[in-house]
Amino acid sequence: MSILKQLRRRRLDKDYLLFEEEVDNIQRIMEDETYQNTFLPSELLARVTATNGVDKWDDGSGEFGFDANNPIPVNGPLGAITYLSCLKTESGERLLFQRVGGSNDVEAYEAVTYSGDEWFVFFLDIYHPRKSHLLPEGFELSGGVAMFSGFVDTSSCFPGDYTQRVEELDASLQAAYAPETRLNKGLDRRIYTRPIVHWAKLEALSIRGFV
Amino acid sequence: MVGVLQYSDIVSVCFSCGAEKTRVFESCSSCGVQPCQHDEIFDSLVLSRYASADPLLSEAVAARSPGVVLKTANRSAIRAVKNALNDSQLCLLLGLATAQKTPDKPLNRTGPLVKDRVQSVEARPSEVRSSGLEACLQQRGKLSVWERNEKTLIVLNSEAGTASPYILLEAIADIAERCQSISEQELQSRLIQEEDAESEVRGLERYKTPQAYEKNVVGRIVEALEKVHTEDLIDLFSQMRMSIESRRDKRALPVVKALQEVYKSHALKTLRLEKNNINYLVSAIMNTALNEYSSKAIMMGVLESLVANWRKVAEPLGGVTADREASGIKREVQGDMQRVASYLADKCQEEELSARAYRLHSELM
Repeated sequence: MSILKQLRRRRLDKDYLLFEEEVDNIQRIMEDETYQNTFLPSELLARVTATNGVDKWDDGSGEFGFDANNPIPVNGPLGAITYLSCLKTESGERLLFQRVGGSNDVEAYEAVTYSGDEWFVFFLDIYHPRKSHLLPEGFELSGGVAMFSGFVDTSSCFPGDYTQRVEELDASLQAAYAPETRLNKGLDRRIYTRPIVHWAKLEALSIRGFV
Repeated sequence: MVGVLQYSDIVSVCFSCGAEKTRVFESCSSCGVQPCQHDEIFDSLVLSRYASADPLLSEAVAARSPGVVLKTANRSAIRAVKNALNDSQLCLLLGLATAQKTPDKPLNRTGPLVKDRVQSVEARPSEVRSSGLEACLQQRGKLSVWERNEKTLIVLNSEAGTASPYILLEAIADIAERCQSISEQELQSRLIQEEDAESEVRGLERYKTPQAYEKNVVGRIVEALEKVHTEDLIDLFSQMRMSIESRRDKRALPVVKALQEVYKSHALKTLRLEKNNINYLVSAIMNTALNEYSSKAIMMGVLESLVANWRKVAEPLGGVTADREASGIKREVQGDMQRVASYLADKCQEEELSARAYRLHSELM
């Protein structure tokens, strides 16, 4: 059963009620890029809609999504969340993620699989009217509408503070987030330990002005 | 603004001057040096709180000596840093050349150069295979100390004869370090499992204490190394000696000491074999009519090769075989080669050959 159907059914349960229009809103947030862009501040909206929708930079070089010179075009912060939430690894794992910083219009995100086994650093360009239809090497689309699993701000407690961060979001967005029960073994901090290589990448990002 | 980096204050030690740094790859505020080369970046990561414990880093800062950390750094952390620098994205971020996997170090073939009239060292397979050991070294996951050691020991036993000395060294050091961290609780739990499985009693003693366990592990490593080709064993122990001296890895000491005994017996065997080879060839030289330039030149070449080969075999053994028999063999062999060099110097009227002979004679003194 799809997530949205579950949400519609849940409104019938006594312990949690969702109105039909709220579910419609969540679905639009997840799927409709034009609607996603309406959440942008006017200045950012102007910039995003001024460009054409592309799948990658024409002059991009390096590995798509993993090189700051070849970032993934998306439509604003919400587009970044939607894009990364849809990704899954070749072994079928989805990602928790957060923004770690930005430099020269390119945003850096760190991500970790739900199991905590693999960590990644992605580069995204949020100044486009739509999301890229391309995928970084080693990733697939999770299929269907994916609940959100990441954030556009930075927390030193990532991802252990996932639930708290969801609760701090605007009410209209909260229901769009994957509940903690869907994450592997909850959010046991011992699982989510960054390996040395990932720390090194974050350190390297700091000297490049991203962090 | 809340940052994602783990530490907001001092995070590393400068690889150059030992001063504190707030970020691993930034320029040092004390000496101005910024890590740029591969080895500088490697050291900088080892000298960070991501790889080394705070007390150790504090000690390095207090002594203004980054070497304190580099010499005693945890082997698994060093390996993690080495693997990290194989990551292409990290190399790109740091501006390093494209990472390539570190190849196994080439085998140092130290067998006799003149083969057909001498006993040769045992034939070895031409193919180096160590994929299982490499997989064990790179494995991450939830295995316990005991399980990881068992797995590595089993693979070591099957691949010892074909793995490169470099991989063998890594595997042995890996096991040796893990031996230090196994708990009595885990050992007791294994003991219970063995009893439940109704296995032979002979295996149970090894689990009773961490010391007994370590002794058993050492025995199994020694058994595996019996399969290692003598030439590779020389390489292995040369590297192990250097590694221990440079890093003062005390945790590996019990294992290393036990292995040195194996090495010593193999080394003596090698020295005796080489002595026989040299005796045979010295005899051949002395009994050859050296009337023609060509025959003298050939014999000079053979002697030079013998000397070079002897140095390759004998010098690595020198640090370990502090043994009367070994010293005796070395003295005899050097004396024999010196006599031949002197003989050839007398026989060779040709200036070039004579000069070569006198040079050898001087070097052998």
